[in-house]
Amino acid sequence: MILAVLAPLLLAIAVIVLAPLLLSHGSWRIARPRLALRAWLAAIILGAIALVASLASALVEILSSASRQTGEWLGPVAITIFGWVGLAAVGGLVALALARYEPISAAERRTALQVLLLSASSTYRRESLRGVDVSFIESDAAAAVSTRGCGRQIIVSRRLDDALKPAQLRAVLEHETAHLRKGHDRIVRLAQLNLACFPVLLGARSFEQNVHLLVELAADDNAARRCGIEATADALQALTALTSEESEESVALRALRLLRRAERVAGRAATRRAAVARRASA
Amino acid sequence: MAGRRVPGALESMVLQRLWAAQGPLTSRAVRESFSEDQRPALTTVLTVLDRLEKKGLVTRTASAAGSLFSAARGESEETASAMGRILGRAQDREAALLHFAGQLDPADVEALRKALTSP
Repeated sequence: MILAVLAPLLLAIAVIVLAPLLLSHGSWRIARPRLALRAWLAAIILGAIALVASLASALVEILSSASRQTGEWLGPVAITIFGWVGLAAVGGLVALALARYEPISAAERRTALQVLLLSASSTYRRESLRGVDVSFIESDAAAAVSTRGCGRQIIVSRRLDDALKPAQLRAVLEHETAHLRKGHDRIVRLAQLNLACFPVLLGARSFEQNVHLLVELAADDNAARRCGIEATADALQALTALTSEESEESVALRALRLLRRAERVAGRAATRRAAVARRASA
Repeated sequence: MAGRRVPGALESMVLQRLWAAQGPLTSRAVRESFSEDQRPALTTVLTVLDRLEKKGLVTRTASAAGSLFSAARGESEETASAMGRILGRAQDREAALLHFAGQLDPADVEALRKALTSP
């Protein structure tokens, strides 16, 4: 019975220790951001399930040992202490999560209200893209934002609308739609809440640090799949001339990442064509 | 009948109409202000007005003709502040928004640069 408590507990500890080491290093996560996001989510779910399973096993053992008389005392006492301390920790954790979620939830409500006011006061065109409402608003800022406040919404400023070619604008909309359809905002919130509850855990800090980059790259990849790598890289390059100085470098690097991928895809296609030509001439 | 719209879009369109009106409107008048191809059902309009009232954006007054609705706050005073808060948040990770320009901090940029420059 001790094994039923210890095995999932050790698994949870292994996940907590190994996840940040494996998932927050290496260029693979830049090349495969969607896989990296899924791996983080899987690690969090696996860690949580293992902890709950360990605690549940301990509680079952406490209840069943009450009706059993054995000479052994160390194991049952350790399990009893672990079970009751674990149960108290879960209760404390739930209370902490609720308390930490309240300001996040209030910020979401405030933002939703502001988006609604902005959309109502300054929209000059509306479109719908696969169930997502797109409001084009009068503004000199070059911005496109997505939010789920009052339903899935994208806001695009006049300056961005005017500056981008239709194919580039489509890529921007697909990028923002990916955030909404793939639940990127919720993943970001989960990372923030996880960090708020476990500020001392390296895994919680690493996930929160990584998640912003990963969701942006995953949305870029989604836009590239729907509109083409070149159109998406073009949109990012066009944005470098319009965006603030602090965002310029990150946007340029995201464009460069897609251009490198386009080169690799073109290289592979040329190799395949050459192989087909060789076989045809043989 | 209008095509299916997300709730936020309809709330925004109703608020636009209340701002544009000279005075308070009945729910039926709000509905009539939509073009025929976009006109929502009266029950939908009432639901939207109710939601806007709960958010403090619409006030309701009783009259002989039924409930009259008007925008609680002026359009211009809301626009400037909302514009700055929403569109100027590229680096604000607390906002429930995701910007196309991204919300990447120097560590993210460094990780990206390192991955792209490594062989």
